[in-house]
This record gives sequence, structure tokens and C-alpha cells, in this order.
Amino acid sequence: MVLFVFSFYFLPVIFTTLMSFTDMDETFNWNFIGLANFAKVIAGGDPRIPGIIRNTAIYVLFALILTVGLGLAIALVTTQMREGAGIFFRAVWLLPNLTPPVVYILLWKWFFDPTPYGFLNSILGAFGLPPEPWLVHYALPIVIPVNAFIGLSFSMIVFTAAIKSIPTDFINAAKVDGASTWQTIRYVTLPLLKWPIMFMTAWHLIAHLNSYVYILLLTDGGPYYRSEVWALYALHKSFDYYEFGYGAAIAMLLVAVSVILTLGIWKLFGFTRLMQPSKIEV
Amino acid sequence: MAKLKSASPYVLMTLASLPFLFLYAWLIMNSFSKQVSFGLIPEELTLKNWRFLWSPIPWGLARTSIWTVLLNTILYASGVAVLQALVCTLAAYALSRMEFRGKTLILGLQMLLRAFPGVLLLIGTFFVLLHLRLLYTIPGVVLARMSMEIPYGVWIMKGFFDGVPWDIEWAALVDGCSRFQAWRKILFPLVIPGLLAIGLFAFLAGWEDFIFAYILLPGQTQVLSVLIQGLIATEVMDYGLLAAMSLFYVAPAMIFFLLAQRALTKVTIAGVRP
Repeated sequence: MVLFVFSFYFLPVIFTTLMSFTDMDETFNWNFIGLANFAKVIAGGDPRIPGIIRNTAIYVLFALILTVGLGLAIALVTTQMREGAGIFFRAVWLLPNLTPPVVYILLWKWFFDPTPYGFLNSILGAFGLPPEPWLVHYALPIVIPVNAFIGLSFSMIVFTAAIKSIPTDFINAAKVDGASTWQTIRYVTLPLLKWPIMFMTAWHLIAHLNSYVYILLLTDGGPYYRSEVWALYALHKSFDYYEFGYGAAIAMLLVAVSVILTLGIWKLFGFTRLMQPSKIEV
Repeated sequence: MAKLKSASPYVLMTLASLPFLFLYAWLIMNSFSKQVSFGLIPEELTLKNWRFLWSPIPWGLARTSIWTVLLNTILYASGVAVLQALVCTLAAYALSRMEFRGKTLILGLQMLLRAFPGVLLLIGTFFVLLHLRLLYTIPGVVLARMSMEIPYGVWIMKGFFDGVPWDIEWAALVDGCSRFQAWRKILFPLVIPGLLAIGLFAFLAGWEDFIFAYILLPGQTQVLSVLIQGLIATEVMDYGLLAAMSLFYVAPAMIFFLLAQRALTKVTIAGVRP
């Protein structure tokens, strides 16, 4: 039974690996062409690759800053509040994670709707300004926060749990010594959160590198590849252009980068400690 | 000044949360009204947006009934949940209680699998299902979606089995139980909370899933997420209809989430190590 399960899970991986060495298209012929697909990506045979690498880099960098930075900020602010209010605001910021992707994207589609009835445009209209096609002009800047809010929900919860597990003695000691709220956060809380922050950064680095579902739903990489990222490009090549071999090769390169990063993170943190992500090291 | 300072986090968070509050308030308001201005003020309350419940959905040439789609979604989600619970329990039991070659390798590989992007697996799965002749069917997409959740589920279940002391199982074996009987009568009842949690989460994953259903289940057999996406992708979006349908789609998921949370609270209690 176990064997069956694992072979079913690993089979797709093996299939894709093999496929990346073929020029398979919609006829499903296994025609091995060696490393030609990879050469095409690296040697510049595909004119879209540089733009997509640039998009992916921008996307991962800013999404990471938002997920970890803003997540930490919200966790810090809400834990300063009274218990009930803190829970309420955290629940609001958790909503994106609980909403199914399709519905979540529907909400943002309406928010940025190009017609005068969209939320932002109805506000513009109230000031007598013409409607703006937001998703056409600002595709990448919009995709980044919308997608980052999903990861933010997760990091916010982790940071809140970590902050709450800091012994109150530490905070009180700082207060007695005359530290302001900001100083307490800067010199007591933040150093104690070093481990969760590092873990969340590593986790979301991989997660953002591999994310594509929300971008597919919101802009589908458009307009004209301006918000296309690496993972989405692999999907498009495979299922829109039926270049399965080439799509598989693109996905494989992403895997290579992810695996290298994951192994690097294991090295950095130590494999055994990564097995217990909830533990906080003081 | 001191008052201003203590109020500042509240003001800050309220401002930051406003867009979200607006979005979700709009979803509810818009489903019951003809049009909404500035996101909150409804004009003309109506139930017209909910007409999809009793009449077919106008979508291109095809006419889809919401109930067939709902049935598909339920089949999909519960299929994932049941299979997931079954497979994870068996796999986790083996990994927790038995010694066999390659065990560490399997555990390590499971961690590594997290680095494999969904895209890669999706392309591969497409071909596995093609060769199994399960492409574009519900059983096929259930198998594919379920295998995505396996590493995660096995890890959680392994924790549960690890939490049950060996002594209890030994006692059963000494009293003359077979290995399977000991599992069935002693271990299994102790890990039911974990099983419930995994099942509920798997159900939610299936219910909310979009990308697998979108790639592996297009065409006639539809699930709710793909249907809503199809309606979003049309030229003129009927926001009223979409809002109503989204609520119809989200509500069960939210209820299930609350149930899952309850199951999870039990989990922490049961997770005491010997």
C-alpha cells in the first residue's frame, strides 16, 4: 500500500523529468532531443525568458518583504492591543487564507474593475476623474500584494504565536528599566524572534518562487507577459501551447533552483531543527 | 498625548484592514442587491442574483444546473478526504511503528517534495492520468489532488502514532491480538481526532481547489470553483450573480473550517507524549 502511494506520487516527477528531455507536443510522441530544451532557456533561444526572470525576481523580492515585514508588523501591533481587538484584526487578515482562491480573486477583480463600477474607479468617479484600467497599467504591482496577503496570513499567525510565547518577565523588565514601547520591541522582542523570522523568510522564499495560481486567476500573466512569472510560464507552455517537453524543462529548472535553496536552508538551520518548525529558540 | 498614543495601534489597524472589510462586505451586500455604490450602500434589494438556485445558469451555449456542479464538488472533496485519511493512516502507521530499509530516505524525500512546485507535478500528473485513462474524470482528479496532500498528512498522522505509547500496543500483542487487531482495536481509536482533522482539511483542500480541477477536469464535469472562474472570465461580468454564487460556495467551506478548528483543539490535548 505504502509502496503504491509513493510510486504514484513519484511517478509524475519521473515523467516530467523524462519529458524535459523531449520535444513532446500535443501528439504525445516521446522524441528525445537531449539537452536542447535547457539550452534554449539558458542560451537565449526564447526571447521571453529575460523578462520573465526579471518579473519573477521583482515578484519574489517584494512579496517576501510584504509577507515577512508586514506580517511581523501586524503581529507586533495586534499583540499590543487588548485581547479581543487583537483577535478581531487578526481574523480580518486571516480571511484571504480562508477564502477559496476563486472567490478571493473575484473580490480583487471587482476592486480593480476597469469600468466605472469598480471600487477604486467609483471613488475616482466621485472626484470627477476618468476610470482607470488598473490591471492593465499596474499588473505586476497589483499581483504582488494580492498574492502576498495569502502568505502574510500564515506568517502573521506564526509571529503572533512566537511573540505570545515570550515570557512577560522580559517585557516587564525592560519597562521597569524605562524602555519605551519601540525600544522594547527593538531590543527585546525582535532579537527573540530571530528564529521564526528566518524560518518564515526561508519558507516563503520557496513558496513565492513556486506560486502561480493567484496570478493565473487575476491577470493570467498579462497584459502581454508583464506579470508572467517562471512557474506560470511553465504551465502556459504546457497547457496553452502544448509544448509539454519545453514546459517540463522550464519546471525542472525551477525545481533545481528550489532544491538548491531548500538544501541551503537545511544547511543553514540544521535538518533536525527544521523538522520542528513550531519551536522557538530563545 | 498618552491617550493618542494608546489609540494609535487601533487607528492604524482599522485603516489597514479597511480594504478587506470593504471587499467582504461588498460580497454580501452585492449578492442581495441590484447594484452597490461605493462598496457598501445597496440600491434596490433583490433576490434576483440567487436565481441560479432554481434555474439553469446562462453561460454561453451550455446551460448548467448548479446542483450537478455542487454534486461534483461534493464528490471531489469527499473523495479526497476519505482517500487521504485512509492512505495517511496506513502510511503513517508503517513509518511510525515499523522498521524497514529506506525509512529515513522516505522521510527526507517527503521534506524535499515541498520544494517541488505544483507546476511540475501538474504536468507529470497530466501524463500519469492520461496513461491510466483517468484524465478528465473525477476519480482521476481526486487521486491527483490527494497525492499532493499526502506528505503533509503523513507527517501529521506520524506525530499522532508517535504520541501513543508503545506499551499500550505491546499489552494488546501480549494479550494475543494480531498486529492488525492491535491496530484496529487499540491504536485506531486513539488517533481518531487526528484522522478527523486530516479528513476535514483534505475536504477543504478539495472544496477550495481550483488549479487541479481547472487543468485536469475541464469541459462537461465541472466543480464550483471552475464554474465561477468561467463566469469571471466572460466578457461582461455579472457581479451580482458572481457574488451570490461565491457566497453559496464559501459558506460550506467556512462551516467546515469551524468544525476543523474544533477537531484541532482536541488534537493538542491528545498529543501528549508518554
